[in-house]
Amino acid sequence: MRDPATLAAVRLTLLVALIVVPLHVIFGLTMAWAVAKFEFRGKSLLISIIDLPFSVSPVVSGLVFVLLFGLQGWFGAWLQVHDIKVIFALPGIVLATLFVTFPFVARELIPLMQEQGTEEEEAAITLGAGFVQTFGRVTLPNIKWALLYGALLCNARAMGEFGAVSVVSGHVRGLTNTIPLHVEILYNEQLVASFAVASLLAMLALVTLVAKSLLEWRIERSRHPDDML
Amino acid sequence: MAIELIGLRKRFGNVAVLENIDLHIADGELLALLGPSGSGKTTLLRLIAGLEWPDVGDLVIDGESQLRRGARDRKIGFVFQHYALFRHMSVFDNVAFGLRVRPAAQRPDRAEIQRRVQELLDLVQIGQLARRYPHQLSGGQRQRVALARALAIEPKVLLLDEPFGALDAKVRKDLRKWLRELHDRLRMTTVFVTHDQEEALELADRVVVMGNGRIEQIGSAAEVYHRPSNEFVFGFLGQAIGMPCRIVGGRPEIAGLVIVDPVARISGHERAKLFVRPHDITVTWAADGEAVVKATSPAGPAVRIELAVDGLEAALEAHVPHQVFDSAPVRTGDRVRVSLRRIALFPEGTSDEEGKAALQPVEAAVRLAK
Repeated sequence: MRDPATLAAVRLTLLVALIVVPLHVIFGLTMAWAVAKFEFRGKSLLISIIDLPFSVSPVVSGLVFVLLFGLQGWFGAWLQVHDIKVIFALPGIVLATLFVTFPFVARELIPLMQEQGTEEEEAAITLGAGFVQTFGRVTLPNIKWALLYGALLCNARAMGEFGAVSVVSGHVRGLTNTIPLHVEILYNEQLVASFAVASLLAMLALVTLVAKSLLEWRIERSRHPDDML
Repeated sequence: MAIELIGLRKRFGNVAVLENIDLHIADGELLALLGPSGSGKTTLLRLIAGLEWPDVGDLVIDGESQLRRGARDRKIGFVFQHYALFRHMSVFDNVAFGLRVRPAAQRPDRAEIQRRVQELLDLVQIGQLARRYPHQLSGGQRQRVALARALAIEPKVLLLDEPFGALDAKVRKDLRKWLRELHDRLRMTTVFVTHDQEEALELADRVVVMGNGRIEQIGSAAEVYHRPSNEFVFGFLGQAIGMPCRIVGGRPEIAGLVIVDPVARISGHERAKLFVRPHDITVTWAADGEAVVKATSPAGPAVRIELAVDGLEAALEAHVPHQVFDSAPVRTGDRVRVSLRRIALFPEGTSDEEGKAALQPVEAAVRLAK
């Protein structure tokens, strides 16, 4: 456990999650807001794009990033000239993780926001509230539990993602290894250590599970408050 | 505040929802927008509130065009059909919302908000419910919260979308009466939308009947009910039977039966549509009558008699009061004479304006004759 490579893997995984989850909270909110509350051209296209990561194998999406940003990729030459490392470095891992966790927050919010409709927001506006007040005082409180739930699932997937990250990371021990990748390497070398690190991920799963049930209970309660009285 | 709607038009894609709406709403008036679903009445209400924008036309409130203002700046109280209460806020916070979101300079202090909200809750008679949440309230109570919340911003105009639509019959009647009293006390210009003719006729000073995105008739409750200006209004306000008829020598004729008795002579038209309400049809037994009783059904507030008039394809349904029926009953198979106490004749092939002039419901009884 005190192995520096393991510690580095834990640090990297936490860092990636710390970047990815807040970004998705913002993206997810924006996309769900747009899809649920407005009518516009290309709306169904946007919904398909949100769902895309569910239908694409993570390995394939990883390879696409290599194709785009790798040395022989479309942007490869330009990136090399400007000395920006994407593939086999943190940005690549973050990008791959961002992609595979794309649907979680938005998918969680869209049905809830559609169900709630726009009347409360309209009421707020006729009462004199501006955009920020309407969003902060009316929209956000109505979806906060679902948003947290989405963020939780997003976090679990971000920390546990193997396929896409495996392709873009390069498995540099102590540098670009996340926990799942590290487990795989250890599995081929020291079985016991591999299980020890894997138990970390399992623990994360347990924590997620408990938090998830708690949140589900809260969401259920905010949707059907009468049944709980 | 007086409201002036001038030539308003609105389309959603290719569908015209509102066409050439001209309407003057007087200061302090209680006005009903009455129409079937899809007639554009809710869209018109949302347009006044600033939740929709017209494609053409102008909206003037108190002498000022409102089209450059958003819903936020119009100071119009809007009560939504399903109330749209903020579900995560208590009743108190719901009502206080409009005061709390004001810019700091105009925002009343805590004590003042407390006082004003309590005053409003007392006004709508739910002062003791301030700490409840919307889901703990009945439909009628939610309606009152929604009203108090809309009144909190001291609106110039109050708009209500199907205010009693989601309530059961008993509550609806009480609340209707109460709203009328409240309006008489506050004297605020109020417009409400409804598809329930009874509600509109009972509550409003004036009724605007809408159909297919147009205003079909504007008038007092008695006017639109007794002097409907066209087929649509006649058909929408109460049960109506419509029959096509020909005009022969200035007199309407249905299936070879002349309508006798005083009917204003109609000139310049060959065809018309005759409308009659079932309770305006009387039936008297007569061996040489022009109709046959097909069925009678005594259940309900009136006896329903189904008639087959000679030469007329469609069946005629008469509603006869029980007393009348009991004193002179008719049975299935009897031949009877049919009188129409009040009819409305709408000549075909006329423009709306011409039609309105020609369409006077006939007050005197008329009879069908061979």
